[in-house]
Formats: sequence, C-alpha cells, structure tokens
Amino acid sequence: MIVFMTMLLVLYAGIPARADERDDALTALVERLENSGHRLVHAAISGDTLHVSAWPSGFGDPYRGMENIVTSAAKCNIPGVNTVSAVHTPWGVPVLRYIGRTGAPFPGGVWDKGSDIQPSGGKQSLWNFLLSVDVPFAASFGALDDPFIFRTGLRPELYWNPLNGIIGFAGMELYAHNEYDPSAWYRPANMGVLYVRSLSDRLSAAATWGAFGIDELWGAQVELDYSIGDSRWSLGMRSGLFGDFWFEDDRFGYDDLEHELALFRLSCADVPLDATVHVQGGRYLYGDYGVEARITRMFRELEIGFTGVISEGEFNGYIHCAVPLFGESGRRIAKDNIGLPSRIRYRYRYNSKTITHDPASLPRGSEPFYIPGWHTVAGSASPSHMRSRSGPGL
Amino acid sequence: MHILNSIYRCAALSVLFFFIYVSLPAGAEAHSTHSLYGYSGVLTIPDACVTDRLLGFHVTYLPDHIAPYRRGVSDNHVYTATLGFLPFAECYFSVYDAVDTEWTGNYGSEKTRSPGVKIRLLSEKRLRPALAVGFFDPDVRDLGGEFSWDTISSTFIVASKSLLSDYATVTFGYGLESERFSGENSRLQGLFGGLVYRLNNHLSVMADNDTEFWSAGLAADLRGFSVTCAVTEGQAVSFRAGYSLILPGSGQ
Repeated sequence: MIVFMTMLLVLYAGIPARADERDDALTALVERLENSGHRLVHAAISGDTLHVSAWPSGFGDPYRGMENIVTSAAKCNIPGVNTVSAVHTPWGVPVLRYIGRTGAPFPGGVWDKGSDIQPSGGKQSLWNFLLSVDVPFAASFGALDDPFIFRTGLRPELYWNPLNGIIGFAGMELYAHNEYDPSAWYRPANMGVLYVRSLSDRLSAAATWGAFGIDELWGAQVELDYSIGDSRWSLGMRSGLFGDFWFEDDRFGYDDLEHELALFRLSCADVPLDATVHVQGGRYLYGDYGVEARITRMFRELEIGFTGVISEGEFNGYIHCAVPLFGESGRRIAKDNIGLPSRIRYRYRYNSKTITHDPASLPRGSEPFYIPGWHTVAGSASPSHMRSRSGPGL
Repeated sequence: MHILNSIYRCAALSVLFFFIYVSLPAGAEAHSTHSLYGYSGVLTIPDACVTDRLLGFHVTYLPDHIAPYRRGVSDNHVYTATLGFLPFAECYFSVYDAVDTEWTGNYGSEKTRSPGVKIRLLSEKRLRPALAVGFFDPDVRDLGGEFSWDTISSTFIVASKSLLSDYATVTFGYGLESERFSGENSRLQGLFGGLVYRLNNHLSVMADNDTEFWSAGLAADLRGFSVTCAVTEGQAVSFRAGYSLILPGSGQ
C-alpha cells in the first residue's frame, strides 16, 4: 500500500513538471528558430512527435532551413520526443515535409509533400506578417521584330503576406539601358494578389489576379498541381484569361480579356541527376494549340532548363534559369520580418521565325512566364530535389 | 641486310605498340579542353568529351579569313556559354559578331546566334574511345523554321581516346556533307581530327585539321581561367579566353 501510494505521488508530481518542461522547451525552440531566420514558426507535440512548421525566409535555401529546424529541435532535447516532423511553409503554405528521428543525423529521414501544418495548440511566433523586398536584376533580350534588342536595369518588388497563403505584390522596372524605348526609364511590373492553398496531401492550388507588366498582360489564372506516388511524378493544369496591358507615355492601357490559356502538364523527376522532364500541351496564349517538352536540372540551388515548343508550324526554343541570391545573408533581415528574394528568374527565347519587323506579330506557343504563381511559393522545395540533396539512396 | 631491317622495324613497332598499350589509362575519361569556339574540343574541332556540370564562358577572336560568319569580310568576336547539362550532354550557345560590318538599324555590327548540343553515346574504356554525336546550329528550315539562314552548322560523329597515361588525347570525327540541316556557314564537312598533348596540368599543345585549315596552338589553364592561342595555316592568329567552373549538385 505504501509503495502504491508512493508511486501515485511520484506520478502526480511528475506529470505537471514534465508538461512545464516541454512547454518551456517549445518556447525556446520557437525563439531559437525565429532568431536564426525562420518566420511563421509553430511548434507542437503530439505523442512522441515534435511537429514544427516554419518558413526559412532568411535562408534562401529550403534544404538548409529544414536542416536548421531539425538540428535546433535535437538541441532542445525535449523529453519524450524521438521524432521530428518539420514542414516548410513559405508564405504560410505547407509544401514540403521532412520526418526523421531526433537522434539521427540530418538528412537521414523521409521527404514528402507537405500537408496540414501540424496539430493545434503548442507555441508559435507572434508575428504572422512578412514584407518581402525583391530587387532583382531585370533584363530583356530579343523580340520577334528584332532578336538583338536589349534592356536592363533593376526591378524593385514588394510582397506583403497579411495572411497565410495570401500574397500581395507590386513592382516596377527601372532601366539603366533600354533599346526597346530609349526614352522610357521606368515601367510598372507586376501588381496583384496571389492565393495559394494545399487542398490535400497531394493537391495544391494557386490563383493569381492582377496586371502583369513584365508579360504585358492583365487578367487571372488558376494552377493545380497533383503529385503522384512518392512525388516523383506530378500532373498539372494552368488555365487563365488575359488581356493585353501596356504602359506608354506615363499612361496605362489595356484591352478586353480575349486571350484564353489552357495547358495540361505531366512531370517526372530524376532524383540522382536532380532533373525534371515536363511534357505540356494545350491552348496557348494567342489561340494556337501546341505541345512542348522541357527539361530542367537543379545544380544545388541554380536552376537551368531548356524548352522546345511546337505550335501550329512554328518552333520556339527557350533557355531559362533561376539564379540563387543572398543565401545566408538574409537571416538578420528576416528577424525584422523583412524577406529578401531567394532567386532571379530569367528566360531567353530562340524563335524559328524570320525577323518580321512587325511589332504587332504574335508569337506562337507563348504563355505568361513572370506571373507569380505556384512556383513563387514552392520554388525549389520539391521532395525530389531534397532527396537529391540528401544523397544517394534516400 | 633486308631481313635485318625488317626485324628492326618489327621490333621498333612492337615496342611502340607496347608503349602505347601500357600507357592506356584504365578506362579514364579523356581530359576536356576548350576549343576556340568555346565548346570542348581541340583548337577548331569538337571532341567526344562531356564534363557533367561544367559551366564556361568564353570570348574568342577569329581573323576574317577563317571566321565562319561573314568570312573574308570581317573578323569575328565570338561570345560563348557552355554547359555540361547532363552527364552525357553538353550544350553551348554562341553569338558571332562580325565586328567590321554595319547593320541597318542602331545595333552596330551584324551578329548571329548559334546553339548546339553534343551527346556522348559511349564513354571511354581502356581500349574503347569515347564516341559522341553533335548537332550544332542545324538549319531548321526543312522542319518549318524560318530563322535559320545564317547558321554555323555542323552535324558530326566524333571519337576521342586518351593515350600516354592521359597525357595525350587523339580525336577523329566525320561531319555530314549533306545540305539538309546545313546552313550558309557550315563547318566540319568531311573528315576532321586533332591531337592534344598535355605538357603539365596547366599547359597543353594542340594541333588539328577542321577539313579546311590546319591549326596549331597552345592552351593554358589555371584555377578555371583558360586561354588559347592558335596559328592557322602558319599566318592567322586566333585567341580565346574564358572561365569555367564545375557547378555544385548531384550527378557524376
């Protein structure tokens, strides 16, 4: 009887102490992650699993951000926790999940698509707000009527993330050199709203509304992305309704919404090479129907790809790249809820048509390229890319 | 005496073959060097080497009588980016600038673009050379394209083998002479070949024939920076300078 009473006393005294200890450890973990450059941090414990969701906005590299979460969680040494489930949540949207043992070295766990962020409760950072300042190098090279025309400068852009998954954006191009229109030294870039949601473990959706000065369009588009199996394969759809948009003599101009876009995509990723092949087809921007093949390879965070589009007898080739920026230098700024761009995206077009000298001629196989969408949120945070970074056999 | 000479010859040839045989590296891939055109090769010809994740930027000067674009009219400045995009595929993209010409409009001199891809079919083994095919700037007008008349085209198959414990690389290739896919400024139509001999890790001497001209030159490479100087037919001097790096990432 005495022994039984003693055990009850120990249990009674021990349970609150352990809960307090966990609470303190979660608070310490959230603070640690915030101070190291993560935003939108949320941590909770369910059973023996520590659930953490965060956006490593100060890292510019989701892989390093995830490594920081896992190693920080291990350092907190929370009693009773032996598994970490870390979810990468750019702009508050879960896109990537890592599950591993707390004692095991990173990256010995499993990568998968993100889904629900984590159980309710737990601890989270106070700030659910982030202003991202993007100042990429802007350059355009070549047009249908002149393949060597060129302009370059800077494109300051502001992104505002008032709620999870909702992103407002506005930007402007400032030219240091402009052969398209030598008298113009500035032009509005993209302005609008992007809404992104994970509808399930496999299905993600993104919708964009606004005026897109870089592509000289206004309108709206919807994207769906459905991953299959271990996320190596995916199906995608992009549909939109656009009108022409221009800026001349300091005045905006626009036409009716008369350009319909409806494209369907199948993608397959090769983990050892960190390369992805896309096959896409459907109705392009100017009413033409065509098919395209694209191969993209990641060199760590540098992305380079080649695209060939055949549409109604016209061939267009594209070279595109996304160059990483800033890297670790953004961590200090991220503490003040200000983000820096992680990558510059650029595309060069190689057209098979002769020089028309007609600025009104329409390119075939064309789709808007610079519109913020699913890629703005997900970036390089795909399970295949992370498995490739993790090394062979993972 | 005649028999003795034959024996001496046989012995000398046997020693030579033995020397070449024992010097063959055990399946090592031939070292890639940069041609004057930026892509991997000897001086003016491509080789069968592909280096995965190798990114390079090159600037070349070619005098007018060997320059492919506006030959005999203008020297060429060639700006080239090359990339080992896949373990078996190298891509390049060049802009040829005929600097002594005037273009209508305000764009200075005449220029043309030249993209290409080289695909390695077989990697090098101890006795087997590496084998590759190349599709450099094909004239796609037969496929419905229109913007193709200034192409600096070559469609070829090429083999490369490293010899002498990797100090030398021999390259032979054959370029299709068919007019199909060959544009106005086609090169490498017929049998071409060349030799690279590495004096040390940084310095190589090279010689080749691109079916039109014999060239000989010297290439230096230090910490990714490289320069090539070549003399063609004993008179025309060409230069190339560039920087190459291996991109991080997975693969070979």
